[in-house]
Formats: sequence, C-alpha cells, structure tokens
Amino acid sequence: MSSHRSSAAAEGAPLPATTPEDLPPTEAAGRPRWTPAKIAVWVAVALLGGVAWTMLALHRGETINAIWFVFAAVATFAIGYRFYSKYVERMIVHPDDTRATPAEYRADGRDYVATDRRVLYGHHFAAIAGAGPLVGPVLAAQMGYLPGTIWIIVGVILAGAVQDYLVLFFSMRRGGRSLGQMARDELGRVGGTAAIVATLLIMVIITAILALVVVNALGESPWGVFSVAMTIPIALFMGVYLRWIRPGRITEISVIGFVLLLAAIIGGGWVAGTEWGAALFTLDRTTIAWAVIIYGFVAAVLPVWLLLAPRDYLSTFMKIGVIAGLALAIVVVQPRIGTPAFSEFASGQTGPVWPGSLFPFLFVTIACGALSGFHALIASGTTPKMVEKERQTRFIGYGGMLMEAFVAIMALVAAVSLDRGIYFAMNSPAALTGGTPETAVDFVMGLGLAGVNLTPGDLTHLADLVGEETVVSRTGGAPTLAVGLAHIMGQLVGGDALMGFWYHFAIMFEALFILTAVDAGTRVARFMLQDSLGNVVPRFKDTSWRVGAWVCTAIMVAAWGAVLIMGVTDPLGGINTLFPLFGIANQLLAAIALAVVLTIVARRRDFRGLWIVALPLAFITVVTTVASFQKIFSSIPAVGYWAQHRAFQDALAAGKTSFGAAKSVPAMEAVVRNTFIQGTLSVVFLVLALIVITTSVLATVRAFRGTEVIDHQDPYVPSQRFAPAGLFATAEEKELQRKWDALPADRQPVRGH
Amino acid sequence: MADPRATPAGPSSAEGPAGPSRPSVWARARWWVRQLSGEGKYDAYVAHHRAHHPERAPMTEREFWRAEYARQEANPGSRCC
Repeated sequence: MSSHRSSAAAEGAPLPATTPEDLPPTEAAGRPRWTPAKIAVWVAVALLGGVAWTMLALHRGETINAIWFVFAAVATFAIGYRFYSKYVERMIVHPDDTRATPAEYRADGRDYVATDRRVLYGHHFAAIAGAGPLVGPVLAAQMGYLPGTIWIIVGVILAGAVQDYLVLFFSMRRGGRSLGQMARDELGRVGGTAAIVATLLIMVIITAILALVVVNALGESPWGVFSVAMTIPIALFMGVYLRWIRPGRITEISVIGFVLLLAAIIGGGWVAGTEWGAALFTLDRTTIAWAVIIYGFVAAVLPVWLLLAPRDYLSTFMKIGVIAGLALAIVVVQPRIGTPAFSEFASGQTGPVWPGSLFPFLFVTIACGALSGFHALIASGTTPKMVEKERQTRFIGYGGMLMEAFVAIMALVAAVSLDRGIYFAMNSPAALTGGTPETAVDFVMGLGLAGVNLTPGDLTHLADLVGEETVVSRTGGAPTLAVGLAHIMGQLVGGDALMGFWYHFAIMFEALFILTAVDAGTRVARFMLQDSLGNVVPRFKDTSWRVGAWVCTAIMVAAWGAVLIMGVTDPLGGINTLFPLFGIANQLLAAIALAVVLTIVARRRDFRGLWIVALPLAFITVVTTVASFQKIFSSIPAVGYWAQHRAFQDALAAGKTSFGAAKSVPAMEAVVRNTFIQGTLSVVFLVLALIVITTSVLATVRAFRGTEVIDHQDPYVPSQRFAPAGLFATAEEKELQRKWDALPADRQPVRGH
Repeated sequence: MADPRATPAGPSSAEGPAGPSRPSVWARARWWVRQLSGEGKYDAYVAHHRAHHPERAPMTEREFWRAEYARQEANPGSRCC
C-alpha cells in the first residue's frame, strides 16, 4: 500500500512488464532518441518563440501585429510541454504504465471507463474552460498587454498546468478521490475541514461573480435578454427530445439546438427593434439579477435531464466553436494592437477598471488561464476515473491547461485590439463615467491616456453597430470581449453589417456557460452543504430527501444571490470591488490544492522535486496574502475594503448626504454594508487558507524528518492493456500497438467511451 | 476482478478507431463524433456489460439514458468558471 513502484517493473523487479497470460508489454520501453531533425525542429520553435517575445517586449511602434502573441504562446507552450512537464514527470510523478488505472481495475462501464486519451482531453478541456479565462484577461488589459501576457504564459507553465497535472495524477492514483477527501487524508481533520469550508465559500463567491458578469452583460439590452431567455425553451425542448423522442442522439439534437440558438440571436435583433420587444425585454440590472436568482433555484431543483444536461451540450458546442473561430480569425485577420505594452496604470493604484497595483492584483485578476484553483475540483472529479494509462495524465492534465491558457491569450488579444478609449469607457464603473457618452468621453480623456482621442460619436456609433442602447460602463469583461470578438470576426465574415450578430453571439455563448456553471455550482454546493449538515442532522445526508434538497438549495442560492444583489446595486461599481475577491478566492483554492499536493509529494519522499510544487505554492501564497492584506488593511479607500467602510461610516456620522460615488444616504449605507461583507470575507478566506497551508507545511516538515514513505494510493494492480501516452504515438508505441491489435478479438481490452 | 479483455475494441464495433483491419473513414468519423459528443457513453456501457455480464441483456438506449441522468442527479459535477 505504501510504496510507489515507479520503475520497479521496468527494472525487472517482481512483477514483469508482461502479464501472466503473455500479453504484449503494457508499457513502451525506451526513450525517444534525439535525431538531427528533431533537434532542428526544437531549435526552430525556440527561435520563433524568442523572436515573438522580443517583438512583444521591445516593440515601440504605433501598433503591433497580434500574430506575435500567438507565436509567443504556442512556441513557449510547446517548449514547456516538451521539456518542463517531462521534467515534472520524471522528478515527482513517476507514472508506471504497468500499473492499472482506476478505469481498468474498477471498470464499471459508467464512471470508471478507460477512455481514448484524445477524447478525454476534449472532455477535460470542456470541463475546465469556462468564462474565467475570457473575463480575467480582459480586465487585466488595463495594465497594458505585456503584464497579462507574461503572467498567463509563464504562470501556466510553472503553476497552473503543474497543479492540474499533479492533482489529476494523485487523484487517479487514489481511485479518483476528490480534493476534499485528499485534503482530509493528507492534512488531517483541521486542515481537511478548513479546505472543505474554504471550497464551499469559494464556490459561493465564484457563482455570484459569474452571475454578475451575465447580469452586467444583459442589463438594458433587449436583444441580449431575448436571445438568452430563448435558451431556456430551447434547452427544455432538447431535454424532452432526448428523453422521449430520440434518447441518446446527442449530436443530432445539439445541431438542432445550435440552429435554434442562431435563430434566437437573429430573432433577438428583430424583437429588440420592435416597440413591444424593446418595452418587454429592456430590463434593469436589478430585475435581471432577481431573474437569475429565481432561475438558479428552479434550475438546480429541476431534473438534470430537463435543463442542465441539454444546456451543457449546447454550451460545449458553442464553446468549442467560438474558440476555434476566434483562433482562426486572429491568425487570418491578424488584428493590429494599439494598446501599449505597459499602460499608465501599470505602476499606480489609479486604474478605473479595478483598483490596486500590478503586484499583487494582476495575479488575482487573471486566475483562470494562468492558475485556477477551481480546476483542482475538476481534475479530482470525473477525469481521473477515465484515464486509460498513467502516462497520459501529462497530456490530459498539463496539456489541457495549456489549451486553456491559449484561450486566455486570445481573450487578451481581443481586448487589447480594441481602441483604448472605448476599452476604458466600457469597463469603468458608471460611478466614474456618469453613464452617458458625453460624460464618459470627458472621464476617459481626463485619464491622460497617450494616443487616445475618443468622441461621443465613437461610442454611439459602436452601440449602433452592436445593437445596444449604450456601450458605456458595460463592466464585467463579457461585453468588451464580445466587442473585440465581433470586431475581429467581422473582419473575417460580414464586416460592420454582422457586428451586431457577432456581438450577441459572443454574449450568448458566455451567458450559456455561465448559467450552466451557476446551475452546476449550486448543485455541487448543495451536496456539500447537505454533507456537512448531515453531521448534525443525519437526515440531511440523504440527498434524495426532497425537503432537505430544497432547503439546502435555497440556502446556497440565497448566499450567492445576496452577493450578486450586493454587486449589482453597489454604488461603487460592483465588478471593480468584487472581482478581486473572486480572483483571491480562486487563487486561495489553488494554494489549498498545491498544499495538498506538496504534502503528498513530501510523503512520497520525492524531496529533490519538491521545489516544483513549492515554487508556485510560495508564489501564490505571497500573492493572495499580500492581496488579502491590502484588501483588509490598505488605507487607500479604493483598495482597502475596511478603509472604504470607515470613510463612508465617518461621512454618515458627519451627517453628509452624499459622499464620493454614493449620491444618497441609502447608497452610503449600502457601501458601508457591502464593504463590511467584502472585508469579512477577505479575512475568512485568508484565515482558512493559512490554516491549510500551515498544516501542509507542518506535514511536509514531518515527512522530511521521518524516514517512512507514506502514500495513500490504491494498491498496485498489474495493467492488461496498452495505449500511447501523448497526442501522437511514438514509433515504439506504434510498434507495440500493432502487437496489441494483432491479438485475437477475445483478448483485446475493452476500450469504452 | 473480472477480465476486462473479454470483448474486442475492434473496428466492427463502435468502440475503437483502430484495430486489426482499418475501419472505414465513415466508421472512424462516426466513432469520433459519438465519443466527443458523449453519445459513446452508451457504447462504453454496452461493451462493458457484454464483457462482464454476458448472461444478462444490457439496458436499451432509452433505459440507459434515464439511469444515466438519474446518476448525474445524485452525483453532480462542477463546471469551471
């Protein structure tokens, strides 16, 4: 139980690489050799990456071609994948392909199904990539293009992909155990409980802020409200179709759903143009927020087949389509980037989109795409139960995260290809822009941005093009990304005439998977709550008990709903005050996941490779701790929640009826209340994460002092199947595959799914 | 542990893109679409069921998907941000 048999079998130890029945080997022997051609290819990749980075870093002309972002990312990812992830594999992972994965030794045809690595890569990617990598980079564009680009590319290679890879691998070695269970196993009761409570709180925050992004995108937008509302009947229709008409025909109904979705987008433009449509579907943000809250509750208690599953199919369909389309468009159109490498806000605390200095706040603003703690929940969920061979975890875990980082880079490109004047008019809170094109132009021109010449006509023209009432202060990232995407896609297909369609296409696509995430997140949180309450009232453990399910769902919806309403009605803006909390929460979850991994690696006594985990853990601990401290203790009101809280309290005490962005006493009271909640949450997050990290460091030190290998992995079972490790099979793997293929049919392994 | 190799992952069934004789382009395209869309879950179930419980008939596609959604109901998975 306790020893890990990394290469014992390969070295001819007790268990031979072939099974007793004389099957071909289950592990490809030998390492691929370096040939002159291979060396030349890697030298070329390195040179291309070097040139691209030089262009990005040193370019001082008017504009820069977006293709350099693509080259820098792809070349660096290729090198990171080929060299660094191999190094991680050799130093601490020690995969052993003679060892059966849970998909083999627990095969049940349902959860535990050995899945083709390329298919599993697709499913894993679809599960990890959501709105996060699209929104964060857009907001980070406030700093210029270079800080975000460097953090995404370097961060994913050294931190994000490492976390995903290791959590996936260790969860797989433990039969697919969840992060919470692993935390309890490795860190004991205190650390494990803190990890679970932190996860629950973080899910509430993340759900609320994702919902806030949707609400901000749909406010005062009859077109958007109509087309997103239409996704509900479309999903219901798909659910009914799959239940009663043609069960199991997912592809077919996804295509039908997609066509209906396009019709809803086109129809939305028409409906918004009519008088009754505009009257019916122009809703203010508070109304939409309540609609999302009610929707969230209903969706989470409805059966999965009726709404969640079909919408999940649709959103996956849209996600892959939009990402592939955007990648193609960027490569073909090659938009010119006018944003400087470092903006005026890269060193100050005066940025209107989100407050705070580059360090630490850039590193929490871009979470998904560079390092996302939430992935640890996915990588310890369904994916580890479907891995066919241990070596494939590098391709699926590390490689899957690299793909998400690529999505984040494209979102950044879409945001920085916009005119900076428009970017700041769209992303600054209404409290600063005043909400009208004229006041917004006054505000943006007052920022003193180099080379920006914005007129009110530019803003109204853009609003006309995308079919919106206004584009001023459409914060949250989604509308900005949609404008950037519409701009780039429009140059590929349709020009200005199709701008409105592409804009709403992008809004629809983000709204779809955010609503799916809201629904799924509420369900997961409800189960976690039921599990915890079950320790006090045992009946709550029974998840099929209707009353318990409804009560717990209502509690979770109330929790994120309260944060959502707070964000929507926040006189100071909402996104700019809450987004840092979202980033900090996500990064704290990453710190918790890395802390659990650190303990596992130390207990396996892989001390030489411990720094691979310690480096990102230390960095993200410092980032989140400094960010939390600034949010708690900073004396600058825009940055510190408590400083803001006191400033407004003092203003109220002094009898003022208007203070800063709050123009009335109730608004001032709202700020006092909001900052109290936000400040309290910052403190709670920080305390929980520090408990987890401390218990992990203590366990690591104990492991260092001890001599015993402690590994809670499942016992060794010899594998009786073979599959290549990476995207492409090597020559040795192909040779071995041929031997397996030549076996008589009754001795072939069952490859499911 | 039952023998996981009792049924072929050959090209004649829907389970694998590779095998002793190369499957047709159409069969391979169909395999990929079914796998990526999630339809292949049923194929995986049938393959597993045939290998492990040959004495019993597997669920029909309609029964399988009902059971599958009921299972998802009982074990929700998160979607990322």
